Amino acid sequence: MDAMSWIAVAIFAATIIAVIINVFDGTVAALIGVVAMIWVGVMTEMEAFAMVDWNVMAILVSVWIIASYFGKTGIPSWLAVQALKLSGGRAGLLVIILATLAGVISLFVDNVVVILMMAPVALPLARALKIPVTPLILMIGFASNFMGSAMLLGDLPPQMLHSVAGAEFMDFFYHSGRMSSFPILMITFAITLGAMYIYGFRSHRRRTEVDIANLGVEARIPNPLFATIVVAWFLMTVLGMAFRQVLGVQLGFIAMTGAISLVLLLELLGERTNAPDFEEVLTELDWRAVFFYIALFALVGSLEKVHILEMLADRFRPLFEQSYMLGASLLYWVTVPIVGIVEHDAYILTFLHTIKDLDNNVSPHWPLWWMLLWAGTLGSNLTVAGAPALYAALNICQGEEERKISLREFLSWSIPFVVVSTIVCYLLGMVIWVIPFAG
Amino acid sequence: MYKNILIPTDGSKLSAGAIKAGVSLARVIGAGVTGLFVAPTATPLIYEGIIPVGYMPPDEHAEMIRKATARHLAAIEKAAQEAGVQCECVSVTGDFPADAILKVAEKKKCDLIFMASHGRKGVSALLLGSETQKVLAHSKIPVLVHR
Repeated sequence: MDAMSWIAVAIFAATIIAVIINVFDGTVAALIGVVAMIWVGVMTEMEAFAMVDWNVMAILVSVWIIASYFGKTGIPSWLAVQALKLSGGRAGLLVIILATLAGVISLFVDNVVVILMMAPVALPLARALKIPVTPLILMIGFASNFMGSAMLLGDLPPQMLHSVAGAEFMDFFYHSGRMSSFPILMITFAITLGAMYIYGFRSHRRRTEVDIANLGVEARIPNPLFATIVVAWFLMTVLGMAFRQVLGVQLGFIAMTGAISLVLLLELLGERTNAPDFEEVLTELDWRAVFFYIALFALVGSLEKVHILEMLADRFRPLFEQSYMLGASLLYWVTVPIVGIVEHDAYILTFLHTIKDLDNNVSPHWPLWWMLLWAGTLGSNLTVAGAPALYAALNICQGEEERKISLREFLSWSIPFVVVSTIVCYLLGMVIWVIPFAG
Repeated sequence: MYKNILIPTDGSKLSAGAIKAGVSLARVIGAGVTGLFVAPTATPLIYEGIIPVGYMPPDEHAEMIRKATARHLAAIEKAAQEAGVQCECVSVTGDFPADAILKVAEKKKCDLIFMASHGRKGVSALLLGSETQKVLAHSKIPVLVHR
């Protein structure tokens, strides 16, 4: 390794440590890392710009814009009331239904947005059914973080897989002649929720009569025209992304077209939809996350440029060549605890590139990419450090309960969730993906 | 002199001694006492310090904690009643007893905290530290540590 490589590694490591220990803002730390890489000459400013996958950034911002409108349609509140009716007033069942709902919404919507969308409607339901707030909100957090990687839209890691490996929208359902992320994570999700019900909620089986009118949650959708347009645009955008190869344009462009045309339509319809101002929607976007992801692409790109990731791949190559199954298992089980304590996006992006540098004929990439994606997502539910959605969930719990939530209390819910989900997903991943490619 | 003495208990033998002494002090100086028990959260796992030692459905765990809370606070009420000291008992839920003690002391306008020297032993004491030490470090009102 030459001096420049060592400098790049040192800056990258210092940046990640600064992000983890959170002494100052993580986004600022990541951007400073990029600036440092440029000033010391690891890359030029134009190279840094080119290393950012602007297609992914376009998907991210565009889907967030549509999701932001979706959050204001009243549909989440309406769905929560339907969940209450479906549960028949059984608190334990309601927790599972709300977690499922959060998981389904997070297929399309950013995880933190799902938490902020669901918590205001889940809290009155928790009060009405006398369910402890913390496990309910944490379950919603785990579920939304979990399902974000099932499809291309819900979270950054699957979008990074699109960026690095070229995974298309439909590849998340079926790939290489076998089921992939969506079905595998759906099965894992169902089993995990079942296990969590038995673990922590089965004793809440008693029916409680709830007066929905006095619940404090809107049981109807305030403006059906607004809600219909947003949902229709959302679905059309998703459909457009599913047929990207037919349309022959980038996913980011399809998402951006969906978002911009939705904004235009709502502006044209004016007061008839009672939609929020575009400026309000823009203000509410998580710009810190956007800039963090931009910086992340440039940081990992700089490691790629000085061939660090290639060297890392060289170190791992013998392991995968010796035993592909053992290598895949190690990749999975080493990833789970690491992403539980460090920011998982940087880790996943680094190792997506590292896997790409392995010889595809000897160590097929796709099983490893999927195993990394799943381990990286499911493991990040372990602590709040692993996923921003859980940080948001924890803050809501602490605010509502007016007390600090201890690590012990958090772990008593997160560990069973992570253990069950990672074991189930590992078994499915090995049987469906790794073993068939190991021969 | 002191008007309202906060006496936290964790149900230990040391706390029992502190309750007895704290109530006696209150009787002598004509103060009232506020009894406090900081109840752990009702998680499915039951912990001893930081080590999970068992499993219980949260409902049953909550019921167990409720009974323990009632038992520990009754000890303070009984001691106060026997001494003819005015007493109010409160319980709060949380895994940070020192924070809760300081918060309740402020909320109930207590002017003295009277507590046992330590309750934890072994690994828990090493990792979690002494709640008494934390109260001593952060309290804005006098703290009397009973040994």
